[in-house]
Amino acid sequence: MTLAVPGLLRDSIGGRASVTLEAATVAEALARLRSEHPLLTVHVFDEDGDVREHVFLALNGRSLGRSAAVDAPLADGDRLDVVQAVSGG
Amino acid sequence: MSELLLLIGTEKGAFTARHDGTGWRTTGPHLPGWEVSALTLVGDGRPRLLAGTTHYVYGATIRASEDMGATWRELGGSPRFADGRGFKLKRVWTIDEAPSGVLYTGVDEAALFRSADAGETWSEVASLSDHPTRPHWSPGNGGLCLHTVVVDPHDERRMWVAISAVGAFRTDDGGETWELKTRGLPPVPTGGDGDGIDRCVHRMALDPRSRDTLYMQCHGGVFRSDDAADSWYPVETGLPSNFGFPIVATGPGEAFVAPLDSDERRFMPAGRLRVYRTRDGGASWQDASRGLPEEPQFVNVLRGAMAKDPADPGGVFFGTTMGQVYGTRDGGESWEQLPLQLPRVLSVTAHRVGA
Repeated sequence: MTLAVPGLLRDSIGGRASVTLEAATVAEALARLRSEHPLLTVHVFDEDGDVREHVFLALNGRSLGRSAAVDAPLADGDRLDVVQAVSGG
Repeated sequence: MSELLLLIGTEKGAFTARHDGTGWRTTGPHLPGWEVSALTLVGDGRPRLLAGTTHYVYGATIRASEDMGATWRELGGSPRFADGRGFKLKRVWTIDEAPSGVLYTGVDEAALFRSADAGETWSEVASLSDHPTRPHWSPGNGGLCLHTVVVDPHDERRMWVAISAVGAFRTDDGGETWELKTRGLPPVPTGGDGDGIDRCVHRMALDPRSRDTLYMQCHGGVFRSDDAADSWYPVETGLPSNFGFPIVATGPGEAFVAPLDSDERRFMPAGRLRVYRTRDGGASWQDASRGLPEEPQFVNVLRGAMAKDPADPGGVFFGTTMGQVYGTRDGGESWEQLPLQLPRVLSVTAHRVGA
């Protein structure tokens, strides 16, 4: 599956717009994210290990919600986006 | 022959302005989109820009550039609270280099971090975070922030830090122990009940020629200490207001402030952009604004947005919340506006680099 980030976070993954993660579930993908991309991890998760308050994850364009639906299965071609939640303005 | 380099951190990126003796050359935005809440140049042999990059969604880290901003690298060893500390790193407020090359950064939530490897890795100075008064610390309008770090250039074991809305602290043993230094400072109404805390220091500066003389812009006035912060007394004669944020000490007994109307109205009094200078250690202040705009300027100058030239006591530079940058190179006798209009200016530092 592909994990895509907004432009502001590209330098956290070597200047790329996305990375490929080998994972069968969202939970596995997030574990891969933590182990393989520590710079990006800091921007997605807070010190408690929770997804940051104004970040949400979207699987194929649909929000996974605050719980990040960690058991959701992944298939080839799936795309997980790190999205800045719009909160005002 | 060295050239003057201004590093300007703004709400939406970093900018540089370099003066070669004939005019300004500017670059930027660097790190566009990031709130560059601290920006400085460190290292003698191999200069490196360090930027505190903060975003309300994505948090705060430090980024470095070895080519004067052309390319940047996020530092994997950026300040980070260890698991279980219970604090969150919300903002990098300041990055300061001691004469030895050791770096310090002050952050929100209030903590001091230290780096001995040019910023690659940072460790929390836990003795300060765990100060016995910590349970009583309350945030100011800008958060619970450690925004000012002053290192005694004659003895690096002695340092001062300031935290809003808590107070000033001093260490005499290289950060092993810290003493609260707020005697003489008025409290602000945080709702707390701590004895000696609830002092909202806005900025603090060490007199360049006296290691025991400090100046402070506080929420409740402008103060001076003659005993290394053991006690403070007000020095406000001649000021139109005792409220403001930056204070810069440029020479023996000489300092600059940028007074605001009041706490409630955080813009220049009557909308007139004015800075004030003392040349007698704070005994009196005079308007030193020739060359600043006469038309209304309802702006603020933030605490980190005024700096002095490290090689020329006549050089002072500041940026406003409306993105203008001004400078004097004759001690405030005349000011010029730099040729750039920026986002809200958060940080200004001045450096000397090889021509």
